Amino acid sequence: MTSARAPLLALGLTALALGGVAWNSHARAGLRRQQQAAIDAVTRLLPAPDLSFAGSSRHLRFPSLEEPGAAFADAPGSPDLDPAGAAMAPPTAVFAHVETFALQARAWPPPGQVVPR
Amino acid sequence: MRPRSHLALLAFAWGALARRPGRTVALLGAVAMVVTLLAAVLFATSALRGEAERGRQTQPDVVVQRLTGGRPGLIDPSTLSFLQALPGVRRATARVWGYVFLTSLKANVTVMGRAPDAVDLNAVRGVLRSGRDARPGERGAALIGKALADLLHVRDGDVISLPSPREDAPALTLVGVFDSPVALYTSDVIMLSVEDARTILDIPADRATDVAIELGNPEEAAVVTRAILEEEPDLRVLDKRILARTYRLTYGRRAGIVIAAALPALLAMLILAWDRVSGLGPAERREIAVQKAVGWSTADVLYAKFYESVLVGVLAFGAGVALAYAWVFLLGAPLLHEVLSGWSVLYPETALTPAIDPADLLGVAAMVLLPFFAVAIFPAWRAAIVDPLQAMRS
Repeated sequence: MTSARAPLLALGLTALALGGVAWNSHARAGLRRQQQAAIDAVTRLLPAPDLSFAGSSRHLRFPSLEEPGAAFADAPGSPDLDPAGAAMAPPTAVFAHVETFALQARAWPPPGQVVPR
Repeated sequence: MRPRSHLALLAFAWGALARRPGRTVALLGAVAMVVTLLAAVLFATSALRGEAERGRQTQPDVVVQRLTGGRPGLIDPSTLSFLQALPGVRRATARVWGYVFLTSLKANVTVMGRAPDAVDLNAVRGVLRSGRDARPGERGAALIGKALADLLHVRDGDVISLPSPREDAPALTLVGVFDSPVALYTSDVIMLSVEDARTILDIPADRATDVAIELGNPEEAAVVTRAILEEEPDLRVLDKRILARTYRLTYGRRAGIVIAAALPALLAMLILAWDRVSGLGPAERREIAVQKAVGWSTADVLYAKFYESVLVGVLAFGAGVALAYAWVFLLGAPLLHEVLSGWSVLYPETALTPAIDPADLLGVAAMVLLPFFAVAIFPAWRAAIVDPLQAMRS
């Protein structure tokens, strides 16, 4: 019968590979943390800390500031991108803990309802 | 059962896998590919979210914009005075910024007016790759993102002019180029004095693009937001926390689309694995019958089969995670980066930083490995409960 050493060695090598991933990940994250002062200095001067990736619509450089008001002129008829369509939804806590203040600020009457004078 | 017996069964399972190398390699490859694709999408998404979070620390507590006809308009002086006078507001700063479309690149660049009292970037390591920071209020001087400088084939010391509706728009001397650590935020940015930004973007001297508000107590953001909207319903108030939601939605949505698009391929590979694992061939049935005939219990047979699938599953999972990590963080996520980040013209050339969430990996393991283990056991159990003599005869 085959010795148990071979499968244990294979499992050990797998653990070693995963450990290497964890170690490299930790080291790179540490290096990035050292650059935080530079990031802070620059993002303080920008409109928003959004990453400089344009979306499918070219003018959406700062989606966090502009997307709710933007017309998707570059892709008419494109699917509704946010937030529908995500197979992997964001954590529900995001919705639970963040209020949409704009809607709560004033008790607007429902559409079509006569406003009393 | 004693641990030594389990080791013996593990060794038997290893031997069984070695006796069928073709089947073993096919299974390992299919499961490893599924794990690689899922883990790579999760790694890249977490890394992008991590970068977005990293830049959020210096974000103003509240940003106020004016909407005119549903589109962003300019902020007038009376609105700025109103915001500055609000209780709880420590500082309200009018900002001047906008976009300029460069025909040669077919892309928008961000023109950002910089307040004269901003921090000296020369003093912060990792901000400037070459050149120097502009002096406070220095006219005609600009800092430029590295990707933009590369695409325009310019460097510090060169002079450029940007398209503008104003004839008196100044030519800009590039005094410095942003460095790689901040490339993710600055690749499309041209930073210049507020006065130059006003001229190039044709924004009147008393108007602003938006207002950044710092609060005495950030917890009062809800109260301040309410006060602003009650007085000026045409304003749009962006709370720091709402922006955090946008980041999560943006990258979560893109990851979801990638996984949804890859779903047929993932299912095909899982079905292949299922077929290989769940279908016991005549040789395997005979092997189980012989094991039963020589005294193995049903539990022994099941343990041996279970260890076979554990060995394949765990080795494939480890290989898949390592491959995904190398794909995303060592090779720069070719093919995947473009899908998750967007089809930008001005890509920042910078490596992503890992921000791996162990829960993501556990999720992948549960999604791929648990069904894999389960389908291996049932056919083995069915074969193990058949009378050994009958099984060998058939």
